[in-house]
Amino acid sequence: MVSEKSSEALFPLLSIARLRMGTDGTGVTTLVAGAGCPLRCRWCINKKLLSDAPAENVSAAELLDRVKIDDLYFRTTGGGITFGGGESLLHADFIAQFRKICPSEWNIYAETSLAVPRKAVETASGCVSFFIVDCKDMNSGIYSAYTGGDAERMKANLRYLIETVGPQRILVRVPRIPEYNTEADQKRSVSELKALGIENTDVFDYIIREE
Amino acid sequence: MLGKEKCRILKEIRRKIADENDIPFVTEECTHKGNCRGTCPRCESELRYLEKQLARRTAVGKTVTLAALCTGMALAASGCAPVGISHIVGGGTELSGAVPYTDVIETPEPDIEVETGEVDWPGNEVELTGEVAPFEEDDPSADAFPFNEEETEIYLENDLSGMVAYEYGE
Repeated sequence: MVSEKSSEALFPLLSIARLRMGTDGTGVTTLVAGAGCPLRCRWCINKKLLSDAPAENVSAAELLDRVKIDDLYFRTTGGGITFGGGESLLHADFIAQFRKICPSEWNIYAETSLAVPRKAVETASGCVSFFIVDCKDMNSGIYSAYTGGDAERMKANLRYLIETVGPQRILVRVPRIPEYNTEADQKRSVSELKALGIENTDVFDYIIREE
Repeated sequence: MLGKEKCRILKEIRRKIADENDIPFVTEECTHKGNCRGTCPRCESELRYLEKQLARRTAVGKTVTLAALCTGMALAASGCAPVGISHIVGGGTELSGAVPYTDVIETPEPDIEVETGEVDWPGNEVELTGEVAPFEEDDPSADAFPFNEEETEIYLENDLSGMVAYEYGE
């Protein structure tokens, strides 16, 4: 007999950061960072995020219990929960479960590279209010060199997302990546994104911190 | 965003909630000198107080106004690139308990003035005296999810006699 509990998705929780404003979502948000990422970016902020192992696995109800403390702030500012990582959409099933039990007034944001199977994007499109996509660079060569991944998968998922949820619910971040791309590359990426229908872009610089 | 700015904005949100829902609310200027994350016991106790007052309003059938009350107070992620946004990256950065990004977007000044030291309650002309009630860090109801708890206490909304700040009085 398969218990209901056994089908419950768990989230590999690395950290919870409360009371964020304007950084990763509208209003007051709580960033929930999870482990696991399919990419291997040279300037990854923390290699811990790449691992699937060290995090604490929590259920949707357990996470809700930890983040509900800011319910009033979420409701009054249009904020909510931002799932980050790592790659948040690796946990799309969990996000869908969380969406079902959290207050409907909360917004759910997902920070993602879209370097995930289509099924995850399909699931997320039904439960995420707003997508914050880090495209790295739209040039396949630059993308592959920097991430080790396939830009075509990201682009295909982005096109699907545009068609499914609409460009109003998507922000694409276009970083200037030291040693990998130039301002001209960034501009080309933005042009390509606009040609796809993307309306919201965030052009910024990665800054390498001295160790 | 620097902690003090965050603290100030959160305080304004709390005051707006109180104003909009006719909840007596007294707050004090935070005297903490360093950076803060908006999670100090006093800020948290004010939030819990509001939750309880709103639950009481709901229990007696009064309207509670929350939706979009403060949507103009923080930056939206949507829209074109905020000027000056940067992400700090680097191999081996310690992340324990932290998050992968750094707050770097400046939030515009809310067009609101902070009122402190008196009950900001329309129609209330009673001058309040006495000591400010201490916040209670171990308030057992602090973990209760707002709006779901059962209220058994009769709340006399206009009875402010002897009350300067707020009390939990369970």
